[in-house]
Amino acid sequence: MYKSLLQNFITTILAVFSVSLVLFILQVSPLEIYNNLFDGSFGNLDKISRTLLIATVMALAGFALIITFSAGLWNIGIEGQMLFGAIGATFIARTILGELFFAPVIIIIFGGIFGSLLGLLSAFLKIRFNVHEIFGGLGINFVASGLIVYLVIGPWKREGIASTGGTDLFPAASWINGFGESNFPVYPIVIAIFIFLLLFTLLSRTSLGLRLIATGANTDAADKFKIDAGKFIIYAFIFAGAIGGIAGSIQASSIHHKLVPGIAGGYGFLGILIALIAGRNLFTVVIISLVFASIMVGGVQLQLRLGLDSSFPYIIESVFVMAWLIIKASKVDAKLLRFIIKKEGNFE
Amino acid sequence: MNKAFVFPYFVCLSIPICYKNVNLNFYFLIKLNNSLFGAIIFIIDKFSIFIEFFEILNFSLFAEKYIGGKMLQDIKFKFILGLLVSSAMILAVACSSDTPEPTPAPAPTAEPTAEPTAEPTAEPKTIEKFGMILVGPRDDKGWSQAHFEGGEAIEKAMGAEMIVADFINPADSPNTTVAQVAADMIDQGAELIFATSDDMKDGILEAAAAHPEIPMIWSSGDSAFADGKGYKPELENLGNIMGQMEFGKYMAGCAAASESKSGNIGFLGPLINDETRRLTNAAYIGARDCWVDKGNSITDLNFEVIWIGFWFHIPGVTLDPTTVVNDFYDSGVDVVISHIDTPEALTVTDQRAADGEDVLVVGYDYENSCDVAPSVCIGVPYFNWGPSYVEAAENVANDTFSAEWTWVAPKLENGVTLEDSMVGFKSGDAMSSETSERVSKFASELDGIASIFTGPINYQDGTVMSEDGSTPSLYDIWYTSQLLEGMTGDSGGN
Amino acid sequence: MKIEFKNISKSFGKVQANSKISFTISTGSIHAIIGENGAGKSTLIKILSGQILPDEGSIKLNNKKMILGSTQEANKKRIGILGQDPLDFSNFTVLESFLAGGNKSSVIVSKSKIEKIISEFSKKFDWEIDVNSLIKDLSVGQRQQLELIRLLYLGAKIIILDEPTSGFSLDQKKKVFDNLRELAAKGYSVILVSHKIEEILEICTKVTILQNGSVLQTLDLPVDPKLLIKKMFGKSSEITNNLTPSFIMNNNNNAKNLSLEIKEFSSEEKIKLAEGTIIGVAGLQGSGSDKFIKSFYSYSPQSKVYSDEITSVEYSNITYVASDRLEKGLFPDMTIKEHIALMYNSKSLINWSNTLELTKNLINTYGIVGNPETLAKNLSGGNQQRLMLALIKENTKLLLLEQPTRGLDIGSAKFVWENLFQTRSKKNLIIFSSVDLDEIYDYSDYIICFYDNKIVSTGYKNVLSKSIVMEKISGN
Repeated sequence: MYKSLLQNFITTILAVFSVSLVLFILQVSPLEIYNNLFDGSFGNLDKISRTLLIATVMALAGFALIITFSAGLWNIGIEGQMLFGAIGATFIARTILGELFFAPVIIIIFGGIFGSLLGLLSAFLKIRFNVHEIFGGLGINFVASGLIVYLVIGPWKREGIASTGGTDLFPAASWINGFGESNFPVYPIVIAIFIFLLLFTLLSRTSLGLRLIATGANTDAADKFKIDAGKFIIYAFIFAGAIGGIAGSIQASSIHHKLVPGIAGGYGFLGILIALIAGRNLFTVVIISLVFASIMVGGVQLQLRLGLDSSFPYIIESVFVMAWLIIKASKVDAKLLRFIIKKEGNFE
Repeated sequence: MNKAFVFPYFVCLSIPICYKNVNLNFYFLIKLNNSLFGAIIFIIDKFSIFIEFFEILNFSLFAEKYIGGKMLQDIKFKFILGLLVSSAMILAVACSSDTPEPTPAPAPTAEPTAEPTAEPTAEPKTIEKFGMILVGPRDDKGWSQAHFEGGEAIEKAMGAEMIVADFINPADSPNTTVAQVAADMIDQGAELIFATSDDMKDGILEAAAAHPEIPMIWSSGDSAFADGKGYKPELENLGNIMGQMEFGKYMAGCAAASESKSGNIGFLGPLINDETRRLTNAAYIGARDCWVDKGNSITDLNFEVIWIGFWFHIPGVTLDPTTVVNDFYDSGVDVVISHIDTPEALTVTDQRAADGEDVLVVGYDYENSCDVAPSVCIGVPYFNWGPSYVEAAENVANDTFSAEWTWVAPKLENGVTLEDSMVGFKSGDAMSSETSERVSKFASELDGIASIFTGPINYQDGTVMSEDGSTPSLYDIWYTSQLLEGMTGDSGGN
Repeated sequence: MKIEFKNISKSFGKVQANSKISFTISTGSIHAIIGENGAGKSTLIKILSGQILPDEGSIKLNNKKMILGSTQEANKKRIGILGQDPLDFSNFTVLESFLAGGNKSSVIVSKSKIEKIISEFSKKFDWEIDVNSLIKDLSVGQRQQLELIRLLYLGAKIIILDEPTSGFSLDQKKKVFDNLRELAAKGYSVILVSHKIEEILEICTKVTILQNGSVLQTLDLPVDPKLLIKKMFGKSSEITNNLTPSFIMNNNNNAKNLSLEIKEFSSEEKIKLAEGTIIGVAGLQGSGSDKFIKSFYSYSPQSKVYSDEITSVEYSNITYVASDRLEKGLFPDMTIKEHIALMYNSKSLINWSNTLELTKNLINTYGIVGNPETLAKNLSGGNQQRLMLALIKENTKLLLLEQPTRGLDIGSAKFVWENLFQTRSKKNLIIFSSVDLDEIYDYSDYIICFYDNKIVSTGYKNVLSKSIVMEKISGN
């Protein structure tokens, strides 16, 4: 544990160094950039709230993907599952249920159910028709985003308006508000912590989780252990879909307060990167999500304060991910770790 | 993950950087990336040429298969080095072309201009900074650029510094809301905020409520329209500015019909709301008047409206304007009137004309948008936000700002736009002198915005908009609920 | 091309795979290399094709020394191997596999040209190969045909056939042999590694017999097939008595009757046996014996074991131990503890401290060199097999072992069998496959002989003599 944390720490430093190098090549001061990013994402309570809210959604997407990665699956359909969660949330918010004081609870639950339905579809395609989950997922994403556009411009459009700009705002009761007067996203964070603990237990303490991992590790061997791979693929997709759906419903009722096309915000795809980086480590997911969220939220400052192009945060992010993967693939970090440990000499 | 897939992923990840020039946005690039990634996996799976190359990536396999094992370390090192160097090169190449862009962009230019203007006019009150929230890119040759130049006018007039945030819409910046951007700008010292799209309604209302001390302008909105449906009297810091583009659209419609031989006119509409309906209607009335003036029968005029779904093209979400315009021409339309924020219609028309077709186009929003395709551009109804925006900024500086709803009439003289008019019509190279005369003739006959809608005018469903000879109220014009009789297209009713 | 092997030696750890192998393959001959499993044939072939660097010795091609341990060199010298299961680009079409596997790595390869080549060869050999069908849809035989065409297309001058003809029909075999002879006459060298005495006798001009890693003899053909078999299996063919007392003989009275239903493999519908029997499935590599073992392991298996007339052994009571331990039997990246938890934990929550205790116990009992946190992939082959044994649950009624001692040293192999004997009484039936006849005779009560995916002979060990089994599994 200590070792892997240290190793990830080394990787982070190297990746940040690579980012600095690229920034340097682009003739921008890395320090200024980092300063602005930090200030823009943790400068005051409002910004911290925003960063945490986005980090929560990203982390949820990452969690969802860790489940499917554990089962050896590429859940590309996560974006669609988030979209469906948002559709579920909007569906509830537009009914009489959306006026109830506990509407957010129903919204979250329905978001989860909607997302898991779509996850189930991926699993169904894979198991029944042998469609690889990457292609199934891509298709499902298209279907989901098409459906949202249809809903926003069709049945759920604003009165007298036909715009893909979004539906009407949710009734105030359906909003997931911040803590007290502030925007501090206490409820999303509670949900994320709950799911974190649930997953942690699932993957490390339950037979279900262990079997899930076993399915992903070696299907042939799983067969010898009498583990029904198909069943666990379905479980994995349902879990991942539900978490993705919850992330989507948080996007809808906590950030946008309405349904807009592309409400998943690309977090699903980012989640894939996050899970890719984090391996199966839930804790790393949280850290990386925070880093990404602060780049996204703070990134607005680069445009506002430094007048940099609006695509700049994404450059930083891509370089970070790229550097991370190169470092991991080349095992430079492991070598450095061994070097450091040998120097200190007090580790096994 | 199979090591062999890591490399293509690097390549894919660098694509957003390569595309940066083209003003594509990351959200779709991520999508693109992932489909590319999928495609690359597919290619590896399918095509032989890659096989050996990617096997090399799998070091251990490579070592076992091809080398005794001694060379392994050496090769690994060289390979990693190669990877690093090549990715660095990709980055360098992709981004080097952009380097001049970001560095001069910060607005030091504001400082020197501030000095001379400040000195001679014995310290007029001024504002230091203001925020400009754009829905699209600042150089879209359309709506957003017109606003951006309006902001530049304030910079010039008062020496204030403009803080710009562009691409603020849910598709391009799903993580950024208008309220957040406004808060950031205020944080930075902005004393006035412009939210320049109808789409920013929810965000700017939230921001105005959250920062009651900061004056804000929601362009094209109705939050300060005392008789309006969306009146928010509690938001005393939020004003609205809009130009009476109905004049411009009337002239645009007139010019289009005047140039059209077939009488088939295509109207490339954005989304459907009150504003777009009334402007489209104005264009139709202009087209009708001038078509009949040419001696044609009104029944021969075919005015078709197609809405793409948003102010500009969002892949996968809206219709593709390029396709729509092409479809128009394929179906016999010979003049297209663009109403969207971006100039795709001009580009397509230029291409079709280059292929020998007799097609023409009317632009929108930005005074110089005809530059995109001068030879086929009949003209462009445009906004000149500068004067109104400067006025608003001066009001803020002098503490005389109040939340007003201003619907600014154009300044026309004999049907020709004056320079400081909020709304205007600029002729393009493709306009014939006959059309030019006809447009100014009809424009000079107009007497106020209501006169455009002088009856008899019926709505699409047959109900009356204005009786014979009468004119509708401002309210009825602003909140136009349907397209007009004689037009083809969706009114967006529920 | 003349090939001279001189003093080739190679050892893997303690195992001496090749020791001082010297013999010559003359130009234009079809030369057979035979020997028991583990005699060193495949090591020698791998050395010739550059996949393995020998510890010492040299190979001369036409009196020129060849650089060893380099596949590139082997390619340059036009050495081509036709393996037992060639071409694993299973999702490719025939045409694509040609494009992919081509060492002629010119950038542009004309598809029509390759199509022509394939169809020409097909005509010559009287084969039917559709260039647009997927490799995975081809039979093993067709894949081998294709591979042979590919070798010829790539210009191989020395053609090594490693157990090649299992997929050919008799007619096709004849055509192939005719063509091989033709090639040999043109100056090609053909090396045939085979168990099938009849084939060897039919086409080969010389045979080299390997035993325990060294050359026993090089003979000119033809010779008496019985002599060849005798030489091939060495001393082992003479051992008839068995030291292990047969379980069946001692427990004959209280044995309940079991029956095996094996329609797929035999004309005999059922085989009746006593409970506690150990069945050895004898057969050479690729004879179908492993397939036979596998056919018992499924929810709805092809082959079934009935503990009485009506009830078959349930899936949950069957344990299958794969020979590919790391690829098919264990989770390489999971720890021993996790394996134990997967197999023995029946509750939904895992009690890790109990599992740890159990793991420690099992590690001790089975003498696994490793700790509970060791990853399966970091265990040695013998320890992996011990772990597999530790994972056999108590309630196992039918134990299926696919080549249980493959790749194990003698000590580990002995441990495996001691352990299985200790627990045999608790199980109704053990079925194992092996390519090692000694193992079959040492540990089984009942023997099933496999050849060409069919059962060719069955019987109790004391009834079926070793020499008969040898002949049966060689196809005689």
